[in-house]
Amino acid sequence: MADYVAIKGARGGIRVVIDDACTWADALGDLHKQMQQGASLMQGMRISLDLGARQLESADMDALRSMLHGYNIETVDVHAESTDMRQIARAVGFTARPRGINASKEPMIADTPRPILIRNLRSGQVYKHLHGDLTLLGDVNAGAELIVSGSAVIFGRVRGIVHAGAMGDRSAIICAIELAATQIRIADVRARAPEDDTHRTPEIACIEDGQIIVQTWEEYRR
Amino acid sequence: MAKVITITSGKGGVGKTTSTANLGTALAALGHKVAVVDADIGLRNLDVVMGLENRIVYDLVDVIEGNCRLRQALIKDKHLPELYLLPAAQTKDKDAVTQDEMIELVDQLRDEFEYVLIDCPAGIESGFKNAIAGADEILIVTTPEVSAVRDADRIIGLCEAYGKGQPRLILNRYRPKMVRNGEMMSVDDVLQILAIDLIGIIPEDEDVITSTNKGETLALDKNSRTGKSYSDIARRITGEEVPVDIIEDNPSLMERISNMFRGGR
Repeated sequence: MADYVAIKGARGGIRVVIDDACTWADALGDLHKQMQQGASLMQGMRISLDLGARQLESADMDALRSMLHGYNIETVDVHAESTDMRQIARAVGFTARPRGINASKEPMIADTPRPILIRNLRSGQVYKHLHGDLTLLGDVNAGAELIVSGSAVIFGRVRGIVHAGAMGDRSAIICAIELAATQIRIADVRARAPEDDTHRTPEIACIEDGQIIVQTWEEYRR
Repeated sequence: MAKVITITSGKGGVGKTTSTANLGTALAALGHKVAVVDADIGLRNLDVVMGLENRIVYDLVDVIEGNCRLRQALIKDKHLPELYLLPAAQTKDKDAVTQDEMIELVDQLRDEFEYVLIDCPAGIESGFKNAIAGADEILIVTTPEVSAVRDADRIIGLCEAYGKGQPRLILNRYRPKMVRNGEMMSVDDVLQILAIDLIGIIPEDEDVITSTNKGETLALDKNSRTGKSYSDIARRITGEEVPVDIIEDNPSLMERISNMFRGGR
């Protein structure tokens, strides 16, 4: 039988995490089993019960409370994502706490070799794609960074930093509908945007004679 | 079911507190029961802007620490009987509360009010996280300045990362004349960068300074352009369809003549 209930030591007590994807009956069954083994050890400790995103009826919540009561477990904080669930938990006599917002995981690292990304990269966001070339449908805003091991094709505006050939590939190129980047990098070469850059045509950057050059689409094709 | 809205910006001084006070007033004037919460612990301002400073006995930290009941800390507005302020503590700092405690407090307010507006501190640290943790919706205030828009962009990214969905935008201190002369970012310039929905535009208005100093809000002033802009945003918050009018003033004669020479409109 799969484990739907995980019991972990937590700061100041014990954290019981109930899988929020399985059926409630499965979860309850597993909880009963775990309680039969371990309830005596938990007595007198502060228990926090993490329901995640699961939605329960008031009756189920009440039954849960009675069941824990049956194992002599009284002090329980219910952690739930939705406000409704916290209200229901409070109504049956639990104390309810929210699950706090998670700390952002930056930089974002592409976990898929899928070569297309549809989103805007906003200030402070770093996106790393080390599976070769990447086409981004969206903007790279000022303060954002896009790092690609191959070439980067950006179907949008670039105002932040783009680094192509990030693993050292000097043949990588960067092209964008509007290349107004504060800085572009290809492999180990860097270029800063000219101060008076008013180009609003699609442009392509590549390395020529050890330097980054930026050309319009027409110039590049010649 | 109550709606909890956090007003934030990243950058300081762009009008979070003024917007919170005015939107709270405008929503209450529409007949809703509203609480405005000052989450800027240690640098409280919302009470001053609303002219309620001298009535503070208990504050948000007192409620969280259990020194008083929530009802004891809520201060009734001077004009509107359905508008309440929960002031921040001035003698503590942001670490006096945790995210969990803030969400619990907000949950308590949900039982009593239709709208809960939270005035967020500037920055992206714990005070910001505390202020948005319990929110259902986030409003971003920015001015048409590169630095403010940059910070707004960062905040939008963080809201998404924290699973708060896409915020809506209040563009504050807009000056049509400067925009016409190409000296200020236009509405389109800002929206092109931020790519989120605009919920309203507030014109630059000296009366805001006078009214905040007096502890009154413009939202109750029927003759104020700014007050009307805030009332319109309040109606949009309630789900009413109110078109966002791009603020225009009439070009002066000199401007029109010089525009003719430039070949402009």
